[in-house]
Amino acid sequence: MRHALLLVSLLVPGVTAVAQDIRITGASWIQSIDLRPLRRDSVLRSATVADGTARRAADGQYVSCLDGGVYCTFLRSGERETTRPLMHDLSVAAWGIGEGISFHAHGRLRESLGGKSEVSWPRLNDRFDLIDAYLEVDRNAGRLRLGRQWSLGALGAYNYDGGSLALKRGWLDAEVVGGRALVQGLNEPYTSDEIGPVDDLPPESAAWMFGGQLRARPGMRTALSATYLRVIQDDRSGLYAERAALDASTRALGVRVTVNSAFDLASGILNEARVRGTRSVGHGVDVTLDVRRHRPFFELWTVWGAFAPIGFDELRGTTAWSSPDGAVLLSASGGRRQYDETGTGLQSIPLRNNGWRVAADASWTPGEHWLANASYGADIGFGTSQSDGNAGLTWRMTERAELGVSGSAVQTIYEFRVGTGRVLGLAMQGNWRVTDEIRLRADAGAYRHRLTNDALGQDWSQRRASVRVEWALGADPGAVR
Amino acid sequence: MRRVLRGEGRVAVSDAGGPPRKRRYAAPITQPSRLLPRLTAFVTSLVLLLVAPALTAQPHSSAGAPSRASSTDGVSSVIARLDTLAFPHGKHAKLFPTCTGCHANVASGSLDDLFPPATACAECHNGTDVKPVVWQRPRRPAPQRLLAFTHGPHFAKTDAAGRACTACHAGNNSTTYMNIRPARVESCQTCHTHRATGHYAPDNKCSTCHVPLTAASGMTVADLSRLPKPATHHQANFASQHGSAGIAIAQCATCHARESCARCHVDARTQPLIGQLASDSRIAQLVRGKVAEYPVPDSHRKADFVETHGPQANAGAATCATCHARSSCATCHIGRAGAKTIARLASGSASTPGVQLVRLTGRREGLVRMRLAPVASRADTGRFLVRPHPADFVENHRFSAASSRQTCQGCHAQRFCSDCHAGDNRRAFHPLNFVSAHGADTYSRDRECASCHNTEVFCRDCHKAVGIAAQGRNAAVYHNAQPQWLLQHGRAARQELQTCTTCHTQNSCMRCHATTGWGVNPHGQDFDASRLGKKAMAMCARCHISDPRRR
Repeated sequence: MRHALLLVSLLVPGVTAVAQDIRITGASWIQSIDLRPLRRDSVLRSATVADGTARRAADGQYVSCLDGGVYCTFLRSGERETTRPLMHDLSVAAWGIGEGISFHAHGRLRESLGGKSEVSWPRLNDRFDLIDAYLEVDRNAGRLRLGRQWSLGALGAYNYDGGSLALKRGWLDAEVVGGRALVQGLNEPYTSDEIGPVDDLPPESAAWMFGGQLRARPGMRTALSATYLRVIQDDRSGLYAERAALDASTRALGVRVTVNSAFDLASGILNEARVRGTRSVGHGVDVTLDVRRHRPFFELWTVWGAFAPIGFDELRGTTAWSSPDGAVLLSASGGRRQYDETGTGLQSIPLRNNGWRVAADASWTPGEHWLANASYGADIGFGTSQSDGNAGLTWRMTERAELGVSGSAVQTIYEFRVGTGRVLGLAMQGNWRVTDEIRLRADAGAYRHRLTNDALGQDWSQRRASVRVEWALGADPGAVR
Repeated sequence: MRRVLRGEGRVAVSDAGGPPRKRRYAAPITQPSRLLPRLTAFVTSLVLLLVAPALTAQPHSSAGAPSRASSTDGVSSVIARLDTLAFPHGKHAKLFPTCTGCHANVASGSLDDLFPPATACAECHNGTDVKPVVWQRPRRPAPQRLLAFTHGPHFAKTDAAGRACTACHAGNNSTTYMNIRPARVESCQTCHTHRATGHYAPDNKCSTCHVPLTAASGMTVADLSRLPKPATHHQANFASQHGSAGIAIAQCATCHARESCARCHVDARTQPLIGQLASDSRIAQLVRGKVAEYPVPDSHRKADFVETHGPQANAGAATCATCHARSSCATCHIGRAGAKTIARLASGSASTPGVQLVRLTGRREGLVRMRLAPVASRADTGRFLVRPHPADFVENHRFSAASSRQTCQGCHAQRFCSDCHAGDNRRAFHPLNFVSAHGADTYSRDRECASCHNTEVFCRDCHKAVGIAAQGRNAAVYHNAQPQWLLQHGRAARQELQTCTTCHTQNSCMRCHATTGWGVNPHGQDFDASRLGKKAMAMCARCHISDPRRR
């Protein structure tokens, strides 16, 4: 954090001093959220039934009884508490430092505005993140970036401290990236303190990342890309990840076909293979068919990959219709997935190894001022089954302001952790573009959870509210004058 | 010209053009004593019939509002300024044997010569024989109207062909003497446009009979507003096709001025074809406040238009420039993507028309609303919703992004991606009730949580906060109070290991599965120890005391 702050405090004033123009944008987001933090509780050993470590309390609660102890313990959700995390994003874009040279930086501050659970909101203990900070040189021939930046592509979003060079020649473009790797989704080095508190075996060494992408558009309707990424431990003793992806898209005979694949080269596993075909059949109807093979990917600083996770195959169909004026959109989808054989467990105690789902979605924009939408989905499968419906209405009062209300009902069945229950929710949200450079967003909702079918546990009914302010200063480099 | 005929009272008969003049007329057929007044009245009417539609611009109180009738190509249109003749030719039919008896100088084209003097009417309408009438001849040639017609050359030709005035003026093709009517368009077409398919057909040559609208100084704004609209202009694709190659701007100039085009055309100032039209203040007044119309061209309706419009625009930016200013493109395009093509469009401003694209907010951010520029004098109409991305794009965009089918950077800054992918400062991606319903999502793996959230940190932190984390406890029966969970957990873990990691740390599993624990082998049948050992021996060492490949 200190290094990042130092870097920003050194770079930003210098760069902005020589820039032709600068734009600063900010976003502050405060939330108020009800939580039920985990609490350890206990019962007298004498009040439990059964023998051994795993016992049951009088109310059916399973408890853990250590040898010789008077009490048996168990974890339960605590009393409802409210946390109020506040986040500030600040980004700077300065351009005109030289021909095609610009500087970009984006930082995030987190703090708590009170509440008992001030450290329980994700990452609230990490007060500052430098999300990106890079110098860009953009010319007709290509683009060079140096600093903390993102590599976005078929393998997801990685950010890193280093450089990237993108070159373009006709219908081909290539990009190479390299630098100090950051943990995906964390914006922190592999040896960061952020992982330690939540994982007892954090990565032991920092890492370097190298990779590249090659993209080709040989025709107006065809595109291909190949991506490679390698994350190496600091001492080069091993890898954290080695991945590749091949993707293609083309349109022929009125069908848009997209093929995606991702490989874990280190483990020799095909993580993703997907063929998706979409065809417009006329009268505003699009039909999409997906065939997919998925197997999860784990970085090699964890042991999870060695636990032989299996994958599933899925077939999914979607049809969507839009009215000629685009005011009405309807879609319906259905799919079925089948898990591979796990090669473990007792056959006499089966576990579901397939699943199916259906969904329908509708939206209607009857005029300039109203948007109505509704959806329903059912997902029956392993781990959890769920049936949920949502409906919402948005009133666009003016070009700058809108107000929406939405309701939801969710039924969870056999969910591993939450159990069987129902959640009814009602929420409101509003957007107000005060000026072209200032925007306010707010939402508030209440979600009432009730356990059903004698499921054990406590409800996790929740109230959530948030206010977000976005603002900008300076000229907009994207604006047309 | 004022009211010509008066049926009562004593009315002074005067010739506004000067002192009464003696004029000789054709010999009377009957009632010679009353011949002159009748003749005068007849001539007056005939003059009105022949000349007024084409040459006069003064109010025709006798004509009233323009008549409308169906033309040959089915367009309701104004075909004449006079639908009734002020002079009752039928009543005078037996008085005058020839047209030229009264309209003796029709061939000259001069109004002075075309109309008989008022004294001619008074010869009969003298208050004694017949009631007096008032007749004022036009004092000067009428202001120019839209017709380029003059009687002179036509009169000569009809004579040469042996035809008479009735070729154009016979009522309903009647041969009855003095059963006449104003000339109709069909009469003109008989000779001039016999190869054309209709009066308003594209293959007709307007300039044969019409002067450009800007030269029709005699027409008022109200006159212009009543000009007929040809059937071709009603066709569905007219807006997108009317500027196609081969168009003769002279055709348009008959009814349009530059301001007609500038109402919708963003590039009217620089468009050469439009530049050939003259400017006209009456048209400017007519179109002021009139809404620009932008029907969606067929090409924009194609499924892959968003993907393919770039090369199309590059090849024909002038076509785009008709409706779009740079601001249209800037709604999506940022940076250098398409910059050269976009620069060829007009810069646009709040006071000029043009299609504007405005983003909707919220969950349907993928939608872009097409609407007109918010100009105070123009009402917003003709709004459309266009979708640059398919309906399920938010969920599936990684596949499009990966295949580079759509170049994300053409329209989005990297900040746009990192706003979501950086994880925890924006709720817009997920619906408001996502927390309640995200369980099933994680199992179906439609969205890769790790793209935005580090599951080891974010998920565990949150699950702890809401009271559903494991905190490393070896509570074998914890899962929804399933007593046989221990026997099922291996299968469950292999089927969906990622969801396990949202609560459990590595040590949770290693208590049993490491060689330092109970040594239960967690590896599957296709586990390649040798391969993984080469790539990440440190991972093996977490569970194995010695190199497992050497066993």
